[in-house]
Amino acid sequence: MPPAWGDCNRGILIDALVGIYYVNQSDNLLMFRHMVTVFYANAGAKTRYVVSEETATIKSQQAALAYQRTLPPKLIRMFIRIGSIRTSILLFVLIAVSGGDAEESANSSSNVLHQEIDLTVESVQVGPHSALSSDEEFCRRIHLDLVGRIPTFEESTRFSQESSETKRKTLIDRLLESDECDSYLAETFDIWWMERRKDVHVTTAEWRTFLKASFGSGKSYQQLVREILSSDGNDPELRPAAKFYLDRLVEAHAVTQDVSRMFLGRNIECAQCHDHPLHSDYLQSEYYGIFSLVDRSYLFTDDKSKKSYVGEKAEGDAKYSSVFEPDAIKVVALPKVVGGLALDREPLLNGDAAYKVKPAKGVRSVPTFSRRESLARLITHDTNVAFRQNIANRLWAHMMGRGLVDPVDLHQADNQPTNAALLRLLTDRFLSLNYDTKELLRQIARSKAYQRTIDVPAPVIDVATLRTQLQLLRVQHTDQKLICERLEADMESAQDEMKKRRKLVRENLDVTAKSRKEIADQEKIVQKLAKQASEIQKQHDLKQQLASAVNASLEKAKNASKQLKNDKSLAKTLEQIKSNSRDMNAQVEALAKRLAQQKKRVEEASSKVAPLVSSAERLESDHHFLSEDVAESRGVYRFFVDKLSVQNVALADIERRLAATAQTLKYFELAEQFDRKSEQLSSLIAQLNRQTNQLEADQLERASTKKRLTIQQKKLEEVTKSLTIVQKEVQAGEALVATLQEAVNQTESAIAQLAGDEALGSAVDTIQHALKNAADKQADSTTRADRLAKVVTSSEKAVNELKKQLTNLDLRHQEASKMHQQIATQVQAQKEDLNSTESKRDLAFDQMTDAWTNRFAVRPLSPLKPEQLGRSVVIALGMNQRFRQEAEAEWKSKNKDKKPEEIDEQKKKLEIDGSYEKRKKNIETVFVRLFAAAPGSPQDVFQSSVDQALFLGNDNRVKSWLSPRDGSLVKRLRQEKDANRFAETLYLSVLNRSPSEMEMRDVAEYLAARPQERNSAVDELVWGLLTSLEFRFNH
Amino acid sequence: MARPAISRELASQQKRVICIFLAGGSSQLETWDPKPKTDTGGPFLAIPTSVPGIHISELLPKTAMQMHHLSLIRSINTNENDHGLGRYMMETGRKKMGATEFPHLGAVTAKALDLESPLPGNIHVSAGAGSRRSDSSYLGPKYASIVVGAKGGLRNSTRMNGLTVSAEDHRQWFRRRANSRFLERRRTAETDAYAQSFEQALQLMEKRDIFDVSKEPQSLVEKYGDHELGKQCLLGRRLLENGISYVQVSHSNYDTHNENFNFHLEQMGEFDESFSALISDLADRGMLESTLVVVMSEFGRTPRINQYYGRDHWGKAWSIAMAGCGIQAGSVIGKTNKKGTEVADRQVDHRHLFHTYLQAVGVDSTDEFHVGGRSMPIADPSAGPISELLA
Repeated sequence: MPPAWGDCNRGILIDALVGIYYVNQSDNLLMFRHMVTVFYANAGAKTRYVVSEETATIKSQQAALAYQRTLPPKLIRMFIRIGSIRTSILLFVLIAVSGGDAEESANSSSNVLHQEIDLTVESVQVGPHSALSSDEEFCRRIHLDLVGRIPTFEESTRFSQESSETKRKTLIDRLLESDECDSYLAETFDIWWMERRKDVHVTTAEWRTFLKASFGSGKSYQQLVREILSSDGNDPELRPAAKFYLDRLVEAHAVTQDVSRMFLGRNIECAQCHDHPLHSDYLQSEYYGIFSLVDRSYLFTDDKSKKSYVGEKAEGDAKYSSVFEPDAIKVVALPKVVGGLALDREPLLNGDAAYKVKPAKGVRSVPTFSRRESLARLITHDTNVAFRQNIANRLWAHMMGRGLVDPVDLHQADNQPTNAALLRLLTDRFLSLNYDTKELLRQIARSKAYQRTIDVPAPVIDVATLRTQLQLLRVQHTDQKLICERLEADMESAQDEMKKRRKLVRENLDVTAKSRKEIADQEKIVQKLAKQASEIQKQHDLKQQLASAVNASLEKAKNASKQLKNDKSLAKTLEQIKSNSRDMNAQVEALAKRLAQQKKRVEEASSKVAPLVSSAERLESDHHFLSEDVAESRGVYRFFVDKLSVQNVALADIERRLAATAQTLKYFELAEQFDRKSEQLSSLIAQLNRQTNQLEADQLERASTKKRLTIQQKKLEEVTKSLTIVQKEVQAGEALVATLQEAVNQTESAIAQLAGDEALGSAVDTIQHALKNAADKQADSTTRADRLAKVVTSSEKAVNELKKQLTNLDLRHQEASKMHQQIATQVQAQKEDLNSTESKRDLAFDQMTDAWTNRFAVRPLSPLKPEQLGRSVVIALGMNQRFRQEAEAEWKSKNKDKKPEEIDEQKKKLEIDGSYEKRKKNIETVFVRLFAAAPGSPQDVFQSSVDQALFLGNDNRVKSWLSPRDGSLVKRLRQEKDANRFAETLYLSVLNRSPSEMEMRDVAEYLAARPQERNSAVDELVWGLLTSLEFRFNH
Repeated sequence: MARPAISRELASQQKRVICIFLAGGSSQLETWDPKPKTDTGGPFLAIPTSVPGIHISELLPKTAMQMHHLSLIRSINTNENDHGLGRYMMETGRKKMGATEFPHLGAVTAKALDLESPLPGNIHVSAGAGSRRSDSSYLGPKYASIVVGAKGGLRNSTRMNGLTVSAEDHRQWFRRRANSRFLERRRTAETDAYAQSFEQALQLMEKRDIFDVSKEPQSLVEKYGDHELGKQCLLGRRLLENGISYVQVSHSNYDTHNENFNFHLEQMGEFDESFSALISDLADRGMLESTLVVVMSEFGRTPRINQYYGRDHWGKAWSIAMAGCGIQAGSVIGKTNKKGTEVADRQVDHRHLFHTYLQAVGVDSTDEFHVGGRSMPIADPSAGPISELLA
């Protein structure tokens, strides 16, 4: 149901229109929002609204159309006009209003916040998201984040066994509504705000009770902070809230620094003494703006009760100068909250009016106008974006293990959020959620971003698209940069103009002052002259009186003298009087003359005043116009400042996306490079192998050739030898044939001489026969020799051939070896290159996945806080039951003399509960002492130190925690005989998850190996998991 | 650590610091800046030292013979007469104001000289073993001082009661195995640091003798003095020798509103013995070039002697002594007037001293620490070191 427009009276409408007019004049979006609130508040309707800026005209008009049903038509028309006519920034207004439908519309808007969170997270991620966590992991995580401890064995198993689709939502809701959650939030906020300082005037117990009640009653964060920053400790209900001031002894520097750090997320401590040397936007004026709002407050201790309160004075201005410029004149601080509002229209009250309770000895003074209360109002004001941004970021960090801005107290230009749009979303929506802390936690818990695993997903990405995106972003970046530069120039010239006009005002003021002084001087002269005149007048009047008296007595004397003509003495007296009267009259006359002169002088002097006054008045009226000029130029300047800041945010967004895209691309390019290089390497290696093979084959060939050569050489040798023998035979045969021929010839000549000698004839026959035989043999030998000679020749050729072959082979081998060497060197170089590319790729991967974590596409891993660790140890080891028993036993021994009827059951329960809590607290304290940062310093810094490990490893307390007691894990495990059930109990109790098969096997083997020392083995296993990373971290 | 490169460089030079804190406020007039024969000077005389021209109180005869190693700063004006605030200023080099706590000299030294060894870097020696102190502020628990006793050594440095060597090995194996499974999922600097701390603890247990003063020879025990301060100084030297960056020893109580002179006569006797033994021992071992020795208090004591023969709190004109690490040996910085009621020359305060200590051990005190994304100046940026003291 839209509000009944007709019910609204004219006054309200006018208010709203004035608001719109204001917006129109100054582009003050926040003021517009404020006016809308006023409008609806007056209309008696509950309001929930979101206003954010958009540059698209169409969007705003569409939105207006869409919400026509809920917005009064006049407002819409007005709104569209503002949007399109006066300014280029359009207002995109969503107003979900209501009478009856308030709750519904509020819910419907917040229902989607967790989805909006996911959309925003996904929109900045370049790359994949990690998967959603398992039920077991979710159950552990949500318990740690909402109730500050791990779930019990039973809680873990129950949740795993539930099958409802909405069981995560149900668990979130149940935990948020639990008393434990209120306690845990109280603890968390206490640590944020008090940083484990020692108690001074308000105990931590009282303070946490107050905080817990605040969370339990659904008090808004805005209201809570307002109470803390305005409490003076006097109202008993709000006394604990004054801890923030009282335990800092109301020391103005301490309060200033912590107010800024804790409620605005700005660590401006350095700005106490000078403008921050590192962060250009932390200025000394900002520091003293807050300082001057708390500096009048002081710690007041009541003499009788010894109780301390915050007192405040009505006067005193903070002055400061930079330590870097010791000679500079001190500046009076302007009370203000940076980014928020300044304290304007501080009433000027003097004397009694300045105080409700005047300062005196032993009295706590209370001013009529409290600057401290103003601080509470200014800090928590709806217009103070930094206030909401700080808490949105801290709550996000609380749930996610890392802030969007990190560290959480360093919101500033050089430390941009990792997802600015998300921080904006949370900041805006926290307002529309009416500063409901738990609701924001619920929405974060329901988001996918919250429920993702810590495991880094495999990087799968379309590189081509990414490259195109990068190009597009580069273009966008150039454009946006141009816009910003142009705006910056506009802003600067607007600033110059403003300065010029301010100078005119200053000059005008100077001249006016001079002129006023002249008037005053002149008036003084007039006054002086007038005074003189009135003195003369007085003298004149006196003289006149005397003169008339003298004249009167002269008359009388004359009369007397007429009657007593002969009285000489009378005549003498008459003469005397006459002369007196003459004198007197002359004096009166002279005085009258002087008076007239003086009056003329007065008139002259007075007449000079009027022109001076009119000139001053002219100047003053000039001042009015000049001031308006300044206001106008300031408006223009603010317009550009705001616009520039919006555009700068957009620029930063683009830059972040650009960096993210470039980073992702870098990884993929390196990965590609790595793949390419590793391919090249494999082909090189293949080549090298081929070369090696070739070398080996060549080697073989050479060997066989050499072998063949040897054989051939041997053969040649043999043949040559045979040839020699045969040749010798031929020679011998030739000689024999010749000898025999000779013998034949001689015998025949002897026959010729002794013809018919038979003996001779037969001798010739014999010899001839022998000759023939010898000749035959000779011919045969010759043939053999010829043949052998041929063989030798061919063999020699073969040997030579083989020798040549061998030489060739050697040459080839040399070359091939050289080639092999070359390839091997190349392979080596390529391998080194590949290694370096690999480490570059891995580094890029780490950087990329770190960035994924920072963008919350992957869940960050965060250490348990000391208290969480202590409580989780209690739960994991099952010490609750033991503590309960001890508490009961203690109560019994203390009350053993009491008769049953004397026992107040309720009191008994309270006492036992208290004693039980104390025991748990003792363990928490042990962990706080070891694991927490020093009191009074940021508590979100993680460090591991050797003495923590020494404690967990060796301290007797740890030993006693591991001792078997009723209900304790160690006792249960010692009794458990089945190895699988043993492992299941161990893992579910300590790590809140079932063991994997490998882990079951590990446990079974561990126990099986030590049957003689089973108890010790059980303790060791429990200790091993308790000190493991998985237990130490929130994942 | 400002930059890892600096730390590595320092590690190679192994610079270290021992600070002897005379708690309660020792009297400069009965120690480093005597004013004999004046109405503020008290009954004691001044004696010559091993450095011609420098005289110190006759209560320190042994120390006088070590003067050639020492440097005196006689012109301190911290203008703070509160025990807590004065101590804070001297230990942190800052004035306590506002909400931020500053880390103490020990934590700053341990962080700046971080050797990444299993040994803790910041140790306070006291009578018995104790737990950790909260003096490291934003530098975190790793650099907070650990209390080691002249009796009892380092807490929790022996194996858990009843645990056998093999059981220890077994449970560590199981822990490592569980860790390696988890590290397959995700590994960060924080997981590494936590897992590493257990390995360091085991290494430290092996080295626990370092913390046991009874391992020192009897002759040295006698030389240092067979009393608490002597043992603590000796243990201090033992710790420094074994690679610990910062050791603090306390001697109390010097808050002599009554009987200042009798009291100093007694206390200075112990101090003289232990301190001179420490200086000569360090010098003999060649450790003095790399070890800075500082003797400080929260403030001095009034020149005016009160009706109880006491002296009261006095932050306006007092002295400390330093030695080693290239500090100009045998020198005196600044002076007070004749009766010691005002600084007459070269006035300095806690800030200058703090810069000087750090620069002496090679730390650029004008640099910043970066912790958890926050940047903090190492020392008060509004002052610098006493440069003439530095080599």
